[in-house]
Amino acid sequence: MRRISLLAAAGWTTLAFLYLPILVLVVFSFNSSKYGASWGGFTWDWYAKLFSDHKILSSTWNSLVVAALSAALSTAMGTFAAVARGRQPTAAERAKEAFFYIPLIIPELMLAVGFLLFFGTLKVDLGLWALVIAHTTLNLPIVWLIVKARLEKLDPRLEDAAVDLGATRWQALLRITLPLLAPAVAAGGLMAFIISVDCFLISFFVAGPSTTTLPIQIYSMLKYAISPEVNALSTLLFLASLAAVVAAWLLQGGEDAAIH
Amino acid sequence: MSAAVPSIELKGVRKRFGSAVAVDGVDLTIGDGEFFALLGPSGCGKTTLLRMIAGFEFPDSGRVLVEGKDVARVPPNERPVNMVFQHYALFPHMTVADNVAFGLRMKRLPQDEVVDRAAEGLRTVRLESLGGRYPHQLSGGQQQRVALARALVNRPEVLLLDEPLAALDERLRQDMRVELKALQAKVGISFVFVTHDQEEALALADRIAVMRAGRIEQVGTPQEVYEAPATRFVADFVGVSNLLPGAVVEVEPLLMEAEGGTRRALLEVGGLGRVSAFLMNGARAGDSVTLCLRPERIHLASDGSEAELENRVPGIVQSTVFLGGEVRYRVMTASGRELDAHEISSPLRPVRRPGERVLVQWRAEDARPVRE
Repeated sequence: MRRISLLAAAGWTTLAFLYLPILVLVVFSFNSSKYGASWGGFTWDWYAKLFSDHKILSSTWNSLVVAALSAALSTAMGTFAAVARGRQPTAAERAKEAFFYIPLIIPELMLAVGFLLFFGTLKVDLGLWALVIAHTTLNLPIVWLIVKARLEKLDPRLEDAAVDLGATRWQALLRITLPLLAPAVAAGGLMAFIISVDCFLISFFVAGPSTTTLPIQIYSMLKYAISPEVNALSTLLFLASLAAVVAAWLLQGGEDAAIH
Repeated sequence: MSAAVPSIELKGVRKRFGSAVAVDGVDLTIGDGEFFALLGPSGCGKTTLLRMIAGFEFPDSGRVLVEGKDVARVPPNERPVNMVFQHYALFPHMTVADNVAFGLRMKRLPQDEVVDRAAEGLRTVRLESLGGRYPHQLSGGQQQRVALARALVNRPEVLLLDEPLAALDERLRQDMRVELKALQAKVGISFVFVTHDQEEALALADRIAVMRAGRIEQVGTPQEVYEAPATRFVADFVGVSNLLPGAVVEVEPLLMEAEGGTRRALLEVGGLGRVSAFLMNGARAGDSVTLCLRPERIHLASDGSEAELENRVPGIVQSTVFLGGEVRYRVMTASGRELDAHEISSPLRPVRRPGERVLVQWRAEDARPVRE
């Protein structure tokens, strides 16, 4: 019994370590006192203010547009890349595949600088399209990994069975493989969307002066002081991310029940 | 569909994967309406052979004929064969009815015909009430039957089955054997199945091809393969055998016409001494042979009792396993050779104890000389 309660204590401590800063943020987003760390009473005012702030609304819109476009692009490309790959790759093919997920572990700052140079060299205007391209790159490995993991769980005989029953390879892909991959594709798309919405560093480098995204807006509001408005905005962003991750997780869990 | 055209003919078929030879020159003819087994251990090439008939692999050389037409380069979706896959490969996102109708829809048949034939297919395997279910809601035996219906509604010339019963538990496997055999008789087309389970091959097939390392060792009816194994490998793989290396001492001139060209001979077998057996024509004194002696063909008599059968060797019981219907003994002969002997149990015959002296006996025709 004693050991179990110790373990429980360790677990709660870890959770507290992970989530206390966020909890503080959430609590202070309801604080009616504008300055300092003192509690002045509960209020929804900061949330109400968000929805009348023109800059916040336009940067939210920018973020959603960039996220939607880059998620769509990276989902299509990532799914295609995962499906195009052989089912039983050789060791050499697996080694080559590392190139698909190395971007995940490259320091984001490096990617950001790289994109800045890349767009400069190609004379691409910084702004919306530069953001979409950069975010697609950032998202692609995530989508690829999620779809590939799902594909590896599929019985390759399913496609063979479809072909045996008269389908062409293309029909087998459309009618059997892609429908069975759908939950993973959706989960990958959601993850891509939320990674794009949350992305600050790369956006900061390639957004240009005209296209402010939500994280950049928050950063610019922080230059003078931490306002409760920022707390409220961050809380909403946190909830949206949480919802997306939970939805992606459910999608990937639900698929297994259908297969096994 | 004339009787003259075999369902499947393989001529000099070879296939390699990288440096590994999977199928090494196979010639095989499977007759119309035959239930045929490709039997062998894993890696013997039997599955590759089946996949070449289905069209999932193309042979490096040789010809594959289905109903007399060379299909070696025809893709699977254009061949008049269908396959029941290992673990069935039912489409998990489709209902049972949609699974069964898949092939008909791919052929773009009119919707009423699709519905009628799918329903008929489900009736054939007695699953007409389960069309609306999903595969994961079915038992293993039901899934197997859906896979059969899904293939058979396309009215193939040949049905291919890859380890059809391997995924079922023992009890269900026994039932499905009977059912498969009845189904094949009903639809009347050739069934070709791959298995590593010799009992399954013996129970289901009209004829069996025993494969080893990409080659066919023997083709024959279950009885031929069991009673007259052509090679030591077949004798060892199909059923249980005592395999006894020996040499021919003397071939008797007496011709046994009824035995199809075999002659009685005297052999010297290590650990048993001189025994008599029937040899194929052409064997001469001095040739070395391996004698295949099935455990159930051995009769044990108590030491000192009157000998009844022509071959007899004294021995001592080493171990006894009572299995209810059968008793399995291991007997050590006086000159140090271990033999397995299986006897049907009987209330009139007490189970022999280890250490008991016995007389090991068998008839000359019950031991078969085989090639290495």
